[in-house]
Amino acid sequence: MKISTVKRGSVCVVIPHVNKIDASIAVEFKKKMIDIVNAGESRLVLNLQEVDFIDSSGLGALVSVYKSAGPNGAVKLFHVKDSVRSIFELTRLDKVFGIHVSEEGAVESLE
Amino acid sequence: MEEFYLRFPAKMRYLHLATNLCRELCAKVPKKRKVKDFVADMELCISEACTNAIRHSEGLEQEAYTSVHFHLFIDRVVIQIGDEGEGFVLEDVPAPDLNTHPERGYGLYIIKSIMDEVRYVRADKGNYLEMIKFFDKPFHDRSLS
Repeated sequence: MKISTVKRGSVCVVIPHVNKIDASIAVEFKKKMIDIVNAGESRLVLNLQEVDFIDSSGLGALVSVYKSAGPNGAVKLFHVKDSVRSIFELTRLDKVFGIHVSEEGAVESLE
Repeated sequence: MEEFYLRFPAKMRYLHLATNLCRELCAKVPKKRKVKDFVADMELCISEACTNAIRHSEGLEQEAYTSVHFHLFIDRVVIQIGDEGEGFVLEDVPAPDLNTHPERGYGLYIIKSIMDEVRYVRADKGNYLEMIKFFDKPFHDRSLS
């Protein structure tokens, strides 16, 4: 799987180029995301526009990334499809990962 | 009643075989209201259940298989996910503490939240998780959340 990154000031915008984040890919996804954190990017904004499906393995990977980012870090989301948003709400992880409509809103929430 | 059966080696790289089949089958259910949500919910539950089944088979000496058995009735869908692991007691699995945001343990909680009936059967010929969703109930009854 490919992940693109773009810097917006002190925030790193991350775009996972994948349709599904489930157990078949969660380990690789988590490793690549934590590599980004370990490279010094602890304030992340994820663009999920290409993600149609996420299950609990994908959620677990994101929680791990969130915890890796540390107390001064953050992980925000935007362009989250309804089918993906509902699982965040069901598990109350929408309270952990702020879900924004736009990239600007997500980035501004970290500035 | 129509039924469909899929059996595949218990390896995570085959997970999409099950979820793709589920999506195709559920898309054919003649339910006009909220069909899109129904398909997404069923795909999610299949993904969770098959992931658990594959993990339950990890570490076995012989090559293990996972199975997906769909039963499409006029009023409900019954899905049985088979595994060849040691099995577990469904009632003994704790719900995740949603206030502490754990990294694992959401799978069965998600299944129970979406499905109308869930049970786990341990048998000599193999265990299976049975999930039932009725078509005449709201698809987003999140009463457990």
